[in-house]
Amino acid sequence: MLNNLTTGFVARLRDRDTAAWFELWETFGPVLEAQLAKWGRGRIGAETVRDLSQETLAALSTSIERYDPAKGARFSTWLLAIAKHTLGDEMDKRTALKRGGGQRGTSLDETWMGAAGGVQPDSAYERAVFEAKVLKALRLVERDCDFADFEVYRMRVLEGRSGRDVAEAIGTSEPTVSRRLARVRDTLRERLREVMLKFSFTQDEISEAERNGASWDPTKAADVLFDEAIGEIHRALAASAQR
Amino acid sequence: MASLISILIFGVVGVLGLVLAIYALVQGIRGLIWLCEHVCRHVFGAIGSGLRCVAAGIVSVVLAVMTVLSVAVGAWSNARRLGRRLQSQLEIMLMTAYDAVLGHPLRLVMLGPVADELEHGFGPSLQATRREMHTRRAGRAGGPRGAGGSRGTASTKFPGYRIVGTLKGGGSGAKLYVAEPDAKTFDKLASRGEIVEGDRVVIKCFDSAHGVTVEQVVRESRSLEPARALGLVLDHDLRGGRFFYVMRYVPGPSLTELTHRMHSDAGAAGLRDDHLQSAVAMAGELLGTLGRYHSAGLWHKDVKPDNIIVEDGRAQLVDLGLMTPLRSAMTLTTHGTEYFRDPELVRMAMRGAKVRDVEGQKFDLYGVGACLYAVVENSFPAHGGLSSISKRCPEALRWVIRRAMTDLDQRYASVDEMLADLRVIGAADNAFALKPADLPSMGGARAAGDVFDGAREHVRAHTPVPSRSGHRLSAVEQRANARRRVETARARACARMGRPRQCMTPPFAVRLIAPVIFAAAAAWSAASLFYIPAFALGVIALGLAGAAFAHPPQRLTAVKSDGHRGMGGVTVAVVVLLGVVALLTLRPDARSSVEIDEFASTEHPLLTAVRTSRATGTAAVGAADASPALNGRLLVVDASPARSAPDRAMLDAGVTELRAHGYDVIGPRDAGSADAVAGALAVVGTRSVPGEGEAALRTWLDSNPLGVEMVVWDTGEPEPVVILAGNKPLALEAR
Repeated sequence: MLNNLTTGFVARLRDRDTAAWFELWETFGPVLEAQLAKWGRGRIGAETVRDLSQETLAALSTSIERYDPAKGARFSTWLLAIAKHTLGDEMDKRTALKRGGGQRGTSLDETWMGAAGGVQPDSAYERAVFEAKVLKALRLVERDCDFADFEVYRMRVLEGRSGRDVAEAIGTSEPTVSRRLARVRDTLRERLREVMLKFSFTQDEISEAERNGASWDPTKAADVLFDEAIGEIHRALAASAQR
Repeated sequence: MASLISILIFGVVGVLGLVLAIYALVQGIRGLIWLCEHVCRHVFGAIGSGLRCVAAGIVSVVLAVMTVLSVAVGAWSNARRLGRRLQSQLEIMLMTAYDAVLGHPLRLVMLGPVADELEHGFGPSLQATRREMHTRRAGRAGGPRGAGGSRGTASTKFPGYRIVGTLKGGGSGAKLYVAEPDAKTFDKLASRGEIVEGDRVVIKCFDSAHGVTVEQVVRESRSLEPARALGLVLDHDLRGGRFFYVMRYVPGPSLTELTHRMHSDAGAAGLRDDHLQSAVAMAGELLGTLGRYHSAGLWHKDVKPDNIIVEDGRAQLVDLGLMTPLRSAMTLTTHGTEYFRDPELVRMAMRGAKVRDVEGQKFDLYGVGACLYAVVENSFPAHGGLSSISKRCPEALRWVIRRAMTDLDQRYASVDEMLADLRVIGAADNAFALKPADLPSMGGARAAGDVFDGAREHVRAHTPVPSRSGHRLSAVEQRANARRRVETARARACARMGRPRQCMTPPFAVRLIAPVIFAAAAAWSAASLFYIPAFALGVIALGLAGAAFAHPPQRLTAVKSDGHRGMGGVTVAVVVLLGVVALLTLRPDARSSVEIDEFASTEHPLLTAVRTSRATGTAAVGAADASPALNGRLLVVDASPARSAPDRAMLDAGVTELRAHGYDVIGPRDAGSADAVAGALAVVGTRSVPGEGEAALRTWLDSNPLGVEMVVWDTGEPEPVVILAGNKPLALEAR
């Protein structure tokens, strides 16, 4: 079940739209890097993983031709397959540089990948992909909203501070804080909807936000619950970044 | 059975024999090929060496002439440079001669060990020359690089600098060397106030031999001009597929190292108050530096902790590899360092935006915010502006970091705006008591004065300064360093303020004055009154001009400047040569010889015709000297009634000169010459039509009423004049 946003985005990827590839990398790059590091632990260094830049990903856009989202695969699985090809290609390139020394190119089905968990996404990976989508929505909101408004939201929701604290910090009143908060929340709901639709291939993926209490439909989740869910996701993201 | 065994044995032996024969044949062919190769290599090697020896000899002769010429005109530095090249050529000549006469012949007759032993006895200089020759040859032949990095050794020589170490290179493929300038280079740089005694430099070298592309060199060189104006780049050179530029070496730890050190001191909770103040002060320094860059129209584009060196408590921004002019018409590139580069820059680059169409300075501010984040968190901002700050940090500082890293449109608009906020934090007694609302960008009051002094002292006290020998500097050395740097800063400020008089370097002044002196000398020489001192002055001026050309003002447009510098020696030689030729051409003797030629076409034996009063004296002297029989009187006739006062004075001076040479002269204004003048006046109008006037003059000359032996006839005309028409040349010697 593909919506227009998703098919439009995939079409841009297939058209080698570098901006689309960069968006993909910017949103899910850290998740992929973490997965690649997990696969390559002990075999490839952190530098190699970091070198897998968005340009590398964009250059590998041919691999997308082999995957048909309409066949029912999840976006996260599709992404993982891309990551696998990315790494395989990178290893090929590195081997090619040394060619002449008797080394052969890396196969896409290297046994060490399978030994490290294969290409099947685990729950941690699925969670990371979902958090990346929420982060993407937050980024869009940061861009759309006034700086002070977003800072109010950040302090109040993402950092969990009281309304009075926030009001004192930015030298305003608590009702103003509430108004600004509501403005950012509304924008976030809208952006979250867009992001979830754009980066989901299945209904199960689309409903992930709702399952985590961050439904973009205000009738289904109260503002407080929505804010709590976003705050929790953000804190989880921060904790994973610390690791 | 027996016959079968025999057949089998014969068969086996036959096959073995065949195999052996084939083996022997193959080995024989291989030996033959080797022999051919050996003979060809050494025969052609000897011929090639001989040709190179001849070529080196020719070049040596040319260089020797140019060296002598440079010495003659006083271009000492140029002479030294040419001398070094001459020495190098002579060494090459010697080595190639040895190869042609001994090296290759000995090896040809399998006496390689003897040749090796002979070469072992060469001095270090000749050994080095030999290594370089072989490396160049290998490079030209496209063969493998010399073992032990000999090619690298050759390519790491930088004229004017001595390599003392290397630094870790970045992602550009360039190699970084720490070097010390030699005496001449030091003088040049110190005269511009760019380095002081004891300073080292960093040389960033892009060598095509190391896979560096032209695009990289172009990218690196595009900001050299403004970087040079800011004193960031001291020198540069582009030749032989290698481009390098020189910067001041900033000793000290990087901000990354310092951050790790501060966090290991402070513990897991985060930085202490003094650390935070230091971080704010360093960010302030950084912004000050970036402000200067932005004012000069430059965008650093790679602000990150690894590129910030803390020296004497001050944060110094290094690595100009990505520096870009803000008004550049080039397409934006995605170069930069992930996590310290705004993702928006990548998006813009992918849209094909031009550099001039984006606000580059705002991207630098993002870098500063990311650096501050890294210092506070001891980690990189993995989620850009949304990265959480979990460690101990004042609320106001968090605000500043986020404001610097937020969306491009909402970010600080300029360095000054961010600096104003940081100054308030730096000035606060308790930064934790500050609220974002107290910051100037949110309507709070600005801080006055340099609020970072105290924090800077703290950083200085806690930053180990590496000395040359690797140990920590003593307090006395640190004070001396500080004094030195103050002097350097003053000299740099002086240079930035348009080179006031005390900063003007002698070569620059000489460059300005020498052409004026030369022009004056040429005019003076042409006036012919004081030829010898004028000629001497002209030569001195040329020498000074040559010296000035030998030290041209540094221009940072790589290719242009390289051409300029490369032609320096030739330019000096050509200028000096042309100048000498010009002076010799202007020599009055030469002019007088022309006049004498004209004189030779006149008919009457007594008459010397000259064109202008300027040359009358010397022309007459020349004519008189050429006439061995002339012992009597000369009459100088002024045939131009409309002569100006200065010209008349010159004519009189010519008469004085004649008298000084011992001739008995009747001048135009002396008693008794009036008749002659009257006679002459009658002739002036007849010079082109022989007739009455000519006959009258001839009669007058024949009668010779004044008893003169020669008449110097100054017509005062610009065109050649033949007073007496006729085609019979006069032979003075016969008279």
